[in-house]
Amino acid sequence: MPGMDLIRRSATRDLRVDFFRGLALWWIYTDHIPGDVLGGYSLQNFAMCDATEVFVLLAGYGAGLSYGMRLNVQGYISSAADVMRRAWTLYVAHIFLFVLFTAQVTYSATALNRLNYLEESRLDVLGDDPYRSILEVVLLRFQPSLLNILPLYVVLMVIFAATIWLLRWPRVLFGLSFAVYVLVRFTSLNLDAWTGEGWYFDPFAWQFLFVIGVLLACAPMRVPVHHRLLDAAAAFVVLLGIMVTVVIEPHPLRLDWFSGSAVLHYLVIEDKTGLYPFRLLSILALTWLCVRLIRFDQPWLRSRWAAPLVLLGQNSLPVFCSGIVFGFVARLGLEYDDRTPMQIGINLFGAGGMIAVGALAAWYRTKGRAKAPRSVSAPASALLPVDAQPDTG
Amino acid sequence: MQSLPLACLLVTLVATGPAWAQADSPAGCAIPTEMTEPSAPLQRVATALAKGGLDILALGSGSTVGDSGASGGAALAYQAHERSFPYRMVDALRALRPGLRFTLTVAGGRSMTADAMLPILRHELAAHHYDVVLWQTGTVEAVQGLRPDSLRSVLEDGAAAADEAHADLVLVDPQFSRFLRANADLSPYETVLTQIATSPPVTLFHRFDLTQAWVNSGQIDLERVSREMRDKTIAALNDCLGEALARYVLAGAAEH
Repeated sequence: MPGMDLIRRSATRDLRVDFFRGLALWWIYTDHIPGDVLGGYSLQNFAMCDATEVFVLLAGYGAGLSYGMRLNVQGYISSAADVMRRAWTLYVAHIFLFVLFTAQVTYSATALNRLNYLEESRLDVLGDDPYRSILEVVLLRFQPSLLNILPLYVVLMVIFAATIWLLRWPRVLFGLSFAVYVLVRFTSLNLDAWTGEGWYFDPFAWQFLFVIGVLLACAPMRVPVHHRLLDAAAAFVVLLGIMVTVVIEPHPLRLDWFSGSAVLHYLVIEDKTGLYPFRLLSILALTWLCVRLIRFDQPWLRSRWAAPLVLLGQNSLPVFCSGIVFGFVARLGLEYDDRTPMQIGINLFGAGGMIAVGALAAWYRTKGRAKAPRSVSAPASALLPVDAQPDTG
Repeated sequence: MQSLPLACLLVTLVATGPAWAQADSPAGCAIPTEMTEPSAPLQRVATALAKGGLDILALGSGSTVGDSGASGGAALAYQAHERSFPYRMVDALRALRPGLRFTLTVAGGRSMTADAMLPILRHELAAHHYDVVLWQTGTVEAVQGLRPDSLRSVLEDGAAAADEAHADLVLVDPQFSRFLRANADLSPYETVLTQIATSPPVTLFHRFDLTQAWVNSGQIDLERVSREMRDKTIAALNDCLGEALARYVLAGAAEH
């Protein structure tokens, strides 16, 4: 397969991370297309967490690998500067995506007389107050729906840059991060948003998941003595999540004996904004089970079947952005006709489009490298710091 | 280029026309009886109807006040302040009970949360007597990802205020849309509404299930309608919801 060399697969590279990151990107695509039948088979239909948690945890893990590991070599200032450069790339991508998505949605809304697009995407305020809106977009305080993940990612990277020196003391970093998370749970501390009461993804809450990802990469924990107990606990959390998601949420009053119980009272009222504790437990339990069940060197991760998702995961920024744009096109397709051929068509379109974008991004990164064999010396990575990152975007 | 899809849609609409004609409401939507039966009697409504009239307060966001986003420019604005479903409900009530007097006050606004509506509710209940309060909420909370537990405490406060003011409280849950289903996690908010509606003075009008049934059967589907038919479809949706709510309110009184 000619495209195979577009995938980075060194002996030490953990392709599980790329694979699940790719899967999360695919779920983000199918989840956000109204009426896509595949949206009924993504993680959120079977677990108390969804693709966002996977994305943020693995973003933290990727950031930890790319920047945290070089801390000893590069020092704080240089490492933090690299993180800030990455945050800047994400910010620019977000602004560009906003312009593209807004053009797409507002034109479609007016051309097709579908005002609901504006209201649903929360782009209605752009018409109400255009001058202010542009300012608020630049300040990341105005986030139309679907355009709230990248602002979160930007802020998480800025927080990471500011706290990267704490990686010397992983326990301190973990403790501080956890303390801020607990504070959010009790006070609803959030960044200010122009529309709504705060950011859809509260960075002060989600930083905890990101930091856990960073620490998994930079300060890997030893397998605990009671790992069987942990296996059982993780399995229990996942099963409880399935129970709540599949049985209880669709029919809150079906299990009378259960619905009045504290379990329901506290599990079903989960909020995504503040990363509800059970959502956090769910993603951690799933991560633990994945790590336990899928070995680092599983051959299938290197097979051609896994290759498309690995490719998506290794090029997550352009893939994510294009997925948002493709997703809206897919929505228009489904609104024109939502029968089976169109369902197949829009999902093939999205898959093909995102793989093409991922391959293109990978090709740009690799082209020219054949002539000048990749040097492992420091100058090369200093010239191309993005190259060493799992997610070059 | 655009005429072919439009033609196809029109053909589909015409083809499904006879099915609409068979349905049992003027706007052409089936209203199953079980959807218009409150889980508990509406005692204040029953008392008021026995006295000859009903004073209604409808509190809600965009769909209640009839403002579905006016910012697409003047030509695109769909603002039907007098045609949203609470008004259509009163029209239906007047048709069903011609001898009785019905008054309606509509309050709230587009993108308004339950938290923002609670002071309005208190203010209205203090200023006037209402026999029944329709409170349409949950959508804005879900779209903004606000905490379901704070929605619960707001609704509990609202339920207590309505009870003190001797008004029945009918909660109205979000309207079905594929977009909402895909882009917001509705179920925690639905669960909160369901839980609040288990205590007697409060009932829940299942707008989500009803509008989903209309979408699934192809009767009213705002997300699959042609440009030309959209305004008519919004009007039909308001008619159908109004009719269903009118039957719900009367059924709640009859049970008493």
